[in-house]
Amino acid sequence: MAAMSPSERRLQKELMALMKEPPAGVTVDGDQASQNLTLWTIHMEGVPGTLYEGEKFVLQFKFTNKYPFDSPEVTFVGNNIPVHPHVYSNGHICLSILTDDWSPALSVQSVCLSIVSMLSSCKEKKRPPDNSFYVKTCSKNPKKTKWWYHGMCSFIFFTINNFSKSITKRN
Amino acid sequence: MESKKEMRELFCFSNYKSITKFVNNLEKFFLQKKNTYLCSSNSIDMEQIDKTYLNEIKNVDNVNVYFGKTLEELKCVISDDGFREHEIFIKFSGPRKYEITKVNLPHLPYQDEVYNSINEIIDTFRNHVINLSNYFFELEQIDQFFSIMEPLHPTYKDEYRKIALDISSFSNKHHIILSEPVTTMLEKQHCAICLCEELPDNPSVPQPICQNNACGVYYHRSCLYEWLLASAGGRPPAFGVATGSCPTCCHPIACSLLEK
Repeated sequence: MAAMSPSERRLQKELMALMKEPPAGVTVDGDQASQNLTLWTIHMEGVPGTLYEGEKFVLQFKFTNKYPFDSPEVTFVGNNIPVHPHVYSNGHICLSILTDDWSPALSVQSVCLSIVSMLSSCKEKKRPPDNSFYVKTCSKNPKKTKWWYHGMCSFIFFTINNFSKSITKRN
Repeated sequence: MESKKEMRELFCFSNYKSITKFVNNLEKFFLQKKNTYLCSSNSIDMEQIDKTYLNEIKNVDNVNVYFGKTLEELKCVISDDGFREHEIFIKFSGPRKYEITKVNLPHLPYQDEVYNSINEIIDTFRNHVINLSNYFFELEQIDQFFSIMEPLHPTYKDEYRKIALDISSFSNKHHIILSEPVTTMLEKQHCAICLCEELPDNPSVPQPICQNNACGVYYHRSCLYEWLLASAGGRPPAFGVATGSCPTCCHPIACSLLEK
């Protein structure tokens, strides 16, 4: 087997960990991801007791060879895009850790957890106010959008940051 | 040059009326050139060389000799008074020309010279080993009684050890001969950026670089440096020290590629 690049080695390790101990409601398509380490499909279930209980979503992760120094491109795909104030109807997610606040200490797992917590903390199911304009004008790649983060997002970022710290400590 | 021209003329078939003429010319040519090509002073008799080389190997005393991937590469193993085995890799690069390709000992100038015989190399190497007997003993003591942080797989070639000073190393200090070796090595931490302990092309191990006591996450210097560089827009930092915030706790952090 050819020598793996640093990004491939890290993705391989993350994939193993995520398949072995997936967070509640999160499953990774392991066969697809191990065939192509740069494109992962992750199935997510709405957390019971929240507005998204019983719903199923599909997330797509795309990685460049600069990962983890470069953030992954994360979008909702498939028929069911969650109706949420930070999720556009084309699947793009407004979440600061996916662009400006990305850090190599974050991982696929912590990104999934932050999306789960973003959905779970939702009080009212509605699209972002600028949805129709954004969907018409945006680039295909959400990382090319200059996001303007609201207070809500930074709140999520801090909870997740603490979360990932506690995970690292436990390990 | 001259002979090339002659050859060209020889093989110019339009010069010949019949094939017999060509064959005759060819024969004449070889008879004429026989002295220059076959018996000149720089002609090499391969068989003779091989014989000398094999005899040379047979005559090596008290040393185990192994062949490498080709017959020209040799590995010799000699043992010292402490029953330690030391390997030296030799390459045969021509008659009476032997070079040392690798030695599992600290580098000395003798390793770059060219030698006349294998025995000459072995003698020099044996002297080196004898001179280093104290060095081996000290290294063995260190490796046995301390938790070695670096290098990951210490050998006699590495003339440094980075040791973890924990309670056990102090309590061992006074009865180092009597005490049991430290069995519980410190648990090796993986780097939070590449998720590995070892880097393929770098001997360094992950370290707790962040100064925030509550953080304590380990990074490879090179991984953290690359991230700080990337997050600062890829500009090389002043004085080789990259600054930014810790990827885990956001505490201000500084990192250079070199050890402090």
